[in-house]
Amino acid sequence: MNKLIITLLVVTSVLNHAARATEVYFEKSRDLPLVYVNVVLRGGGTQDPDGKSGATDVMARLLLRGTRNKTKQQINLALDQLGANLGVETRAEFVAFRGNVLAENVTGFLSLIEEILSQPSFQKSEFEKLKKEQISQIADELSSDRALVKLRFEQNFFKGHPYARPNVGKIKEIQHLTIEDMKAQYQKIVNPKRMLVLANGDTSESVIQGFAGNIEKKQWTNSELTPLPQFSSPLKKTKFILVDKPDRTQTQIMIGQRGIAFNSPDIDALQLANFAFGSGGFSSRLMVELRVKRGWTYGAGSGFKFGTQPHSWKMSFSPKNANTPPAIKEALDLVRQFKEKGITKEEFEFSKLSMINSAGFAFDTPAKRMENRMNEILFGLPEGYYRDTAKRIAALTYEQVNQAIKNFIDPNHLFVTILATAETSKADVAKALNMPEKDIEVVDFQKE
Amino acid sequence: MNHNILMINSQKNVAVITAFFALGGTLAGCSSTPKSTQTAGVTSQPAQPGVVPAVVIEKSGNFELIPIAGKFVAKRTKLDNGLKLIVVEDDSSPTFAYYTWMDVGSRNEVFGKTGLAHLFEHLMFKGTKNHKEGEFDAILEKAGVEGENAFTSTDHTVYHQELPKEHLELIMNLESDRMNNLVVNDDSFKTEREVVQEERRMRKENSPEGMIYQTLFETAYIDHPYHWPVIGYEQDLNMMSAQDARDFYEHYYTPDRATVVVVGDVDADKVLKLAKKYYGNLQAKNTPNVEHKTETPQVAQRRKKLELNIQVEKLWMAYKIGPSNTADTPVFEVIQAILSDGMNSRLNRALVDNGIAASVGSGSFSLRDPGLFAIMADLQKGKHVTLAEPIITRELERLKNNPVSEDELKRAKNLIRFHFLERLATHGGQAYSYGEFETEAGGMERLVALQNEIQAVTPEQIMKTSKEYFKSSGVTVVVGVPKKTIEKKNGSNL
Repeated sequence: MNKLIITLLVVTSVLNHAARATEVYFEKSRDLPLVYVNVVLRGGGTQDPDGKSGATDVMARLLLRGTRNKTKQQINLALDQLGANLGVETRAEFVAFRGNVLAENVTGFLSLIEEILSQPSFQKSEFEKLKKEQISQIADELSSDRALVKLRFEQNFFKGHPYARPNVGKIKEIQHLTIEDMKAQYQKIVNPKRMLVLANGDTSESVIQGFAGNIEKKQWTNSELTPLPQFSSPLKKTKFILVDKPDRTQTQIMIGQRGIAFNSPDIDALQLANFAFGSGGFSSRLMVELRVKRGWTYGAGSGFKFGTQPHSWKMSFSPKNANTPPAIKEALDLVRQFKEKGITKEEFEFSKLSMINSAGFAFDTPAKRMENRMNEILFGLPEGYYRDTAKRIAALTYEQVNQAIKNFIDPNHLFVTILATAETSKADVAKALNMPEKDIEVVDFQKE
Repeated sequence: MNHNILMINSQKNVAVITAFFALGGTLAGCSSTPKSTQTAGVTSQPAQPGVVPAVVIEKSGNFELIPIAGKFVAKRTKLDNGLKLIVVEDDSSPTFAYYTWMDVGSRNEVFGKTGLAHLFEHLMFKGTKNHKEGEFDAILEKAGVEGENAFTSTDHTVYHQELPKEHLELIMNLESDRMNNLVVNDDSFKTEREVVQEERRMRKENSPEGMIYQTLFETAYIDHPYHWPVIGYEQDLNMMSAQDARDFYEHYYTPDRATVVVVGDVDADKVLKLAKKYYGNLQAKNTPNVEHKTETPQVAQRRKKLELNIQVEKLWMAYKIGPSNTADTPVFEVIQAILSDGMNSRLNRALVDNGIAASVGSGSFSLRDPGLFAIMADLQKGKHVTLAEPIITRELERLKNNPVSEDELKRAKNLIRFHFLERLATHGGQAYSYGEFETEAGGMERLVALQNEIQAVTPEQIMKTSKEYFKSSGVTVVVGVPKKTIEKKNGSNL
């Protein structure tokens, strides 16, 4: 086992009071006079009601815009005076309030968060302003090709499943959200029984414990989250969609398939396989074939996205228009070969060593350890999952990895999303792949 | 892992742009304060307005000791060949960050060869006399490298990575090897040029922000190399040859242009010993920089309108400021915080709260030569830049004519102090900051001195600096509008 792993056994506390619903994690660090605090609530964008995408995200942002005793301006002024930041991020399955503060002001900062979470004002004027800002930001996202291809991949691949919903919402649905929707979503999501408090920095355990305890003492409505259904891909064969955007000189491509559960027994074998295929830097197959040998793309990589349900495994790259057809063909061939032949013994040994030696970087700072503990709790992973990665990778065999690839990779049921100008790219892609043009479904880039 | 990220101009939105400024755009210093004195202690506490505590530098063995903040103390020395070495020992994790700052960027290019510094940065990952192509990456990946990357800016090229602590000698061996023994062959040059063209398409042609950013610099600078994009122009890249790259390497990749910064679980004496072993035999060349024209002073507003594939209008305004090392630097830091740091900042209240913009940002492009102070806003859907620009101008007039209140000043200083400490929370963040100040601001002690100077900024200084720089005749404005809905000059002064 490498030294990096052994030395990183830091002193942390996972503080579970017997009578406490809220889970608390704390790590003391006196390196700098700062304290980092994350308050995480289970239930994210996937908990939005049908036709009301963005409800969770808008609700969470609205909490930062007024309490019964403070206006938005007063909250912001208080944060500035404390030397603090507080933001909120909505993911598919959780909402995280992430903040940091000068250590000398931690008590005031925690009191402010407590007030924000427990005494929302749901002021209508702020709500209307927020909706407009959110809609403008979503519209602005359409100008980023890389963000857009990812969004359209997920919306179309997971069609009908909550994973298809953009966490920030759709413009048309946000327009129709009401204050009543916000109140309902607040009652559904904000509850200490589904809350995690994670902190690190120059403060004490008792301060963080006191904060969690104070929140629990408030009155909360009893609510339950909507269970997330299993997703099974309805694809009968590989499907192609072309997101049609004018004037593109470069194409964004995302190719993916159904993923794997975070706690699947094959996860480590597949992570190693993926390292060799597309996440292992300049030695990975995708990078070597598409960039190093041919100069077709600047970036090329692959990876898993995880949730409480299997999410996706996908790869992406971005060639100029002329190279788009051969690049897609090459990538699909690489997936086929990956399935049929697995990885070589040399790739296995290289990937294994590299993953073991770099495993410590997954938990080398207090901030990363805090994020890791959050994932462990949210996704049902054993405590120390990240710390033990090198040990688990070291135990993998070559046969295990190639068997996992064989079981998992599905080259006949891929979902290929191409963001390009249809007029200049569609026919060439169809020709290169020897398929009829009609098998490439064209969707307007603005269609939500 | 992505090699060769271009430092500037790929940011996606104003929030990120603000983060960019916080990271790199404003770390600079003040030539009016001595680099080092022996008269007072360093403090990270807010100073009294007008009173600037100086930075104490002590000598210990081969090193100068420069206290930073908290437990962090930097050790600095220089090899006989001019290579600067900065080490900060921090055993909070058994890893270290290794940053190599080369004193060369796009300001060292000439017209017709734009993009050479950045293209060359890509070539540094190819083979050397001792390692064939691909080995550099493979050796480091096997060793467990994290964040292996590089970036090029107008003034610098930086190579960086993080490694487990036992690989210190490995990286010093590899980095010194490619500083001295690189092989640029014609085939790999051609392939890598194609990769750079793809990067350019991604960051420029297909990125509205990238096009606005490029246009802002092309418009604000006429004579100076800051005029052209760091990534270069398509036609220049196509005309470039492997010989151009080899000549560039010979001229600029010399130890006297290098600053190596190591932060993490290392022993400074050992780092120095290894530095002498691996870099000590490289010869200084004292090569000159390219002579370039001084920018002609701007005497009138400059404006450009771009029709882009966007849904919301975008506004960028920029004023010429001095280079990164002037007495105004701490004042601009405070002005930035007052204008756009936090939701309670003036432009956020005036533009976002009032339903005109979705986000707003500002900050200094602190550069080796005179830079820019820029303000940018992404408008709300259906709102026009013609509404936002007068409001921004009005806020700048307020800065000129009305003293900032003590409360607001305290708020700004608190935020800046917080961001400074936050930047020190990772080995990489520290290595970046120390390297930038050492290479750009006249010495890394300026990083600490600047914090002290910021805490001493007064309302009168803010008024004076605002009056001096925020002149309507000196502004450059670039707006991006959606292609289908371009205004026919209705009410527009563009």
